[in-house]
Amino acid sequence: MYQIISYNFVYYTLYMKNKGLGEFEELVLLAVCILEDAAYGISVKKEVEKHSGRSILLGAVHITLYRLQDKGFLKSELGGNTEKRGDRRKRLFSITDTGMQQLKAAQEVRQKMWQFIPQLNPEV
Amino acid sequence: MKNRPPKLFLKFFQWFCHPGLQKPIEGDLMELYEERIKDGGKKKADLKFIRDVLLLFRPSIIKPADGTYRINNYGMLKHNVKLAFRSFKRFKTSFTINLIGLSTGLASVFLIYLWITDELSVDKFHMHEKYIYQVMHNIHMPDGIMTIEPTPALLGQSLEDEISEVEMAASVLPVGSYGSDRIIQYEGKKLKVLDQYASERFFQVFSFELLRGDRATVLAAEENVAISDEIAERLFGSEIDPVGKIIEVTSEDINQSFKITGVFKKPPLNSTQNFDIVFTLETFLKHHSHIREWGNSDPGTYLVLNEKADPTELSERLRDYVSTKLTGYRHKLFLQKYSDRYLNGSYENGVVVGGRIQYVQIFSIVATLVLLIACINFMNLSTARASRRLKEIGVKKAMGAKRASLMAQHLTEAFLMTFIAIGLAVMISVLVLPYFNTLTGKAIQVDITWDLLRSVAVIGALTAVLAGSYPALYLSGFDPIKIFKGKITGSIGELWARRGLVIFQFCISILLVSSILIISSQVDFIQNKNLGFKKDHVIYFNSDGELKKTSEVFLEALKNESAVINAGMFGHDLLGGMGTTSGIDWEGKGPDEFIQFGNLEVGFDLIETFGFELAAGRTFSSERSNENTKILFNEKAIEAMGLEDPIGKIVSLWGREREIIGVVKNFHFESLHKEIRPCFLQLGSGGSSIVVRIAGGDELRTIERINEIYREHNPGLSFDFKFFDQEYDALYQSEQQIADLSKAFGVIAILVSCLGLFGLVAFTSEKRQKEIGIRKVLGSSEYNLILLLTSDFSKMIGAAIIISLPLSYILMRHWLDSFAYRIPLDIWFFVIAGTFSMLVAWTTMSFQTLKTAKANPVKALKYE
Repeated sequence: MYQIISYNFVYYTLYMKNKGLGEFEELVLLAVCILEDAAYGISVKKEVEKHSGRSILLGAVHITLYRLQDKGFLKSELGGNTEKRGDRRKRLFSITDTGMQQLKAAQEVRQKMWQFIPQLNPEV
Repeated sequence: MKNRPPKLFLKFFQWFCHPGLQKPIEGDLMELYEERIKDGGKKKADLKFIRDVLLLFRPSIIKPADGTYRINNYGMLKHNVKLAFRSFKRFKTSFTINLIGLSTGLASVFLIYLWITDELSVDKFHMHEKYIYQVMHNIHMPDGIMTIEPTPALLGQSLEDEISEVEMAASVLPVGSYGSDRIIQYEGKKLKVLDQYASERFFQVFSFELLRGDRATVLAAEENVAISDEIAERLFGSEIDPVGKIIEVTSEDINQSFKITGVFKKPPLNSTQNFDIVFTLETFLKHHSHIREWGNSDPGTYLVLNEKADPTELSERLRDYVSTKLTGYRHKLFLQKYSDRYLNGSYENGVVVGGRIQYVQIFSIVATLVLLIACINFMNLSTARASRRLKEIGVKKAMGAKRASLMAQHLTEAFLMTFIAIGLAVMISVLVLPYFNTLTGKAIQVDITWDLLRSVAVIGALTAVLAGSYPALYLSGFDPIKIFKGKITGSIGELWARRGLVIFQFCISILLVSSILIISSQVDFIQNKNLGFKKDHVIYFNSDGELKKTSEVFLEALKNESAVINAGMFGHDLLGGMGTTSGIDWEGKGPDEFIQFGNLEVGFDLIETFGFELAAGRTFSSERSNENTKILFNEKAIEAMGLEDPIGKIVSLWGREREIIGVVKNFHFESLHKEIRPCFLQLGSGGSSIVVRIAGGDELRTIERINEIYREHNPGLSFDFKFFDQEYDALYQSEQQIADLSKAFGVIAILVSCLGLFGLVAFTSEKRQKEIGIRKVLGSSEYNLILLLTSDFSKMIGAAIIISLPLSYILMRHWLDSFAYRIPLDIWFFVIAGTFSMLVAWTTMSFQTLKTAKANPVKALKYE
């Protein structure tokens, strides 16, 4: 019994603590938006790499994708497979409404804060 | 698909990945892999694939341990462990017996494991170990082939130059070749050292650690010398740098100064070569120029072969190598791997026939047998106890327990038992190790390495499986319906299995006991054999330094002491080191007759000092002149030469005429492994050692007195004497060690067997308590009851005796055959061994049977 409780507890703290968006999560979310219907592990990885200019591990992308899905920001379905992949079908991700809202909210927060930077807005 | 990612890592990924995520991620991985192959080649792609897989190993990707599955497993384990502990508690006797048995068995195995690892490590530390071969020399004599290490001094260099497979060669004259200790001097400080003489390549062929100096050049010039760090410390202290210092040697043969060019670390204990100082071989050759000929064999030759060489083929090719240099040379060469020589150092007719390796094998077998006996105890006690656990098993089965889980339960018990025993065994081993070291003459230390831990784990697991699998199979196999109907009474087969195991145990024990008896009487026999001389109260020491010149005066001074019975010079030690020659001609010698004589050079009074008995004639006397034209033979030699009435006859030794003045009775001048050979005694010009027979009683005072005289005559040197009998016994050290070790193991084996027997008897008498109670009430006597309880086991032990005694006869016959002088294999040894085992078994059983037979029957019958 003790085992179960402790296991769930770890689970809870890990996943529920940061309901907001991390920096990397935001990038991944944006990439999924950009890619529209073609967002899966590798394409997302490449998209993020392309825009951010840094090299990213496939594992990190996957983890983030599934975490975002758990949080309800992404939904996924199994897509087609290519010859390269054998019988391993792609999991295609797309953004949910909550995800979009979250993204927009994040953007708004930043936008608002940007306005208050005196160096950038000398007249205020 | 042409390109596959590293299979192991793919499998690993498939194993740990959450099933729901697996396919898409795997697909991504594969896709990326293909792309990377196109970009940067397969190798890079593989590496990146591995990196990706490893970095995917994180909590959110790893499949969660399946809740119920895991909990149940854990729960079962907990349950099993708990039950095991309960059963230990409930059956305290069998627990204790098993614990003692298994831990002693395991401790024996651990100690023997350490011993064997140590034995196997000897001479393995050299960098070129795999390629170092020693050239061995087969001396063809009429009565067989003798294999020796010395080879011609020119051989090494010649082989290196002429044979392409020989990368390097070193000729090494080992410690002791000179006959007595070498003394080196530095600014008046004298030191006795173990001297070795080696050719230039010595430090390149062997990887003895060189602290100072260069491997290639340290022995390059003739007057160079390398000393050990220990000698450097003693000679110069830690402050002064020894390199470049000049040391002197002043002795009969070598009289010159040497320049220290290197300091090496004292050879480790697992090296067969042990030396303090390495002179150049050139030095020795300069002063003993006769060695520089193909006909003389002195140094050992060591080769480093290149990797492509085929040692067997090369060995065949070198067979007659010396005869290409020296026409008519009859002796042959062969190659033996240097590191193999320690364990395989016995030769028969020019072929390697084992050596210490046999002891290594014997003791691994013995230790395993002891452990096996302990495992059998476990099996017997567990299966015998079955009847008390039948209900538990039945209920479990009725509730739906699978056979596998019942087996798991009993195996858990075995594993837990072994685990506890391992802990105890490790403690025992550590505690016993110092004694074990004295027993085996080793300095084994326990370094905790992975190898060691792994071996302990493997040994432990094997023991647990061995001990636990039979009970687990047996106990889990009952039919639950029969259990509840009470129809299980133990099948005949099972009874026989248990009997068989007990018989097997006692076979081993009796085998060991009889072997111990025979081995120790043989060792006793050797130590107390009439050797043809008296070895007690004899001390000897090297005649070195000033004594070489003043020995006569010194001996005179010694003889004036009242406590000194006699004293004389001797060129040998009767401990094995002596020269042989075939250069004797006598009247009536046939043209093909060829006898190797032992050549013993003695001083005046030596024959009397050792107490060699005369069969005829007289000994050398200092009062007569021309004694150096006289000679004495042993009886064996006279017999071999076929001389009748030998006194006064003239023989010629190396072309010079000698008159036979006496015949000594046969005495052992070599190891008792060999038969007494013909030998002669001649008056030696200067012996290497001085032998003194002292009166028994106050030896310490006498030796102190001799020490004083020694110091007067030989100032500056310490008086290092040895008791002859001690040194003599040391010759048979390996037999002594074997005797001691087998004693220890024999005692352990019989103890552990008896423990098991005790457990079984305790169990049966408990089971038959009621029966015995009824018998007693009906008038059975205590004696009858004891007989009833004991007879079954007595029969088993009787069977064991019948089986094991012939076996031990065969084994011991074989062992004794390696001695030229041995005890007869009397029937008494076996009678004693058998009776002893039976008595020990009866005593063990009597503890329990007496108790049961004497018990008040009311107690047994009260409860129903």
